[in-house]
Amino acid sequence: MKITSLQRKAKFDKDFKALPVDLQVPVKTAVADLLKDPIPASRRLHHLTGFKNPKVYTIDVLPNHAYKLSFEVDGEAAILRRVTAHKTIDRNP
Amino acid sequence: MSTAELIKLSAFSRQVSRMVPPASNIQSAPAVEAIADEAISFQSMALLTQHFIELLKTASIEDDKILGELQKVFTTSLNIVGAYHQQQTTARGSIGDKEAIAQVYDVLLQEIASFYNALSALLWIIGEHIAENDTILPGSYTNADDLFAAIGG
Repeated sequence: MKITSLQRKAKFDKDFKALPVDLQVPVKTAVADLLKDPIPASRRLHHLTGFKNPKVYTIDVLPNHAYKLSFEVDGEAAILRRVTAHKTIDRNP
Repeated sequence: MSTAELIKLSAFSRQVSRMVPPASNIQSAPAVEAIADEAISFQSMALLTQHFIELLKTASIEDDKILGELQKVFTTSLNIVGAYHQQQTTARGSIGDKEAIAQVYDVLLQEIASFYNALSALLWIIGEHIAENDTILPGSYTNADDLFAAIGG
């Protein structure tokens, strides 16, 4: 996947502005990583399998997977959709 | 997604919000059977949640009001289930590993965690539907700094 430009949906702006201030730099770094080819493996690029829009992907914002960012691919453009907490509990702590 | 399926999803959201007992109703020393019953309830709800995740993935829902309401209800439920898991983890911590009830408690904690994670996945899909209906803002950027300057961040 080669991304050369960035666009965004209004929801992304809303999500970004609602984030704690200390998360804004990690989000900016994650978005910058989208323009790298390949996207660093540490971002754990995932396809949103089975979703009605087959062009939607997610990446991790933080190494602890607590925040994710979603985007859709249109040609070589990434359209940023959301950035928000992704809460999980370890089944076997 | 059909109207009937949406009605079922709304009913499910109400069922989820009712299933976690208030702290005042939790028995201080529940029987093994009671804990096992609870584990089965959480397992059932996790399976039902997975069912709705699969339905929602392929559904077309253009009513943002419904999506917003579902997001609100499930977010509240997620927080309650998370707090309940924490509460039960604390209760489990006071029981020795050799006691028979400890194993049942461990199963309960696993099932609560599975349900929590399924609810979180459901919420993510609802959020993606909201984003799906959203408009693309003007502007195309070849670096992240310019994009965030446009956002004002």
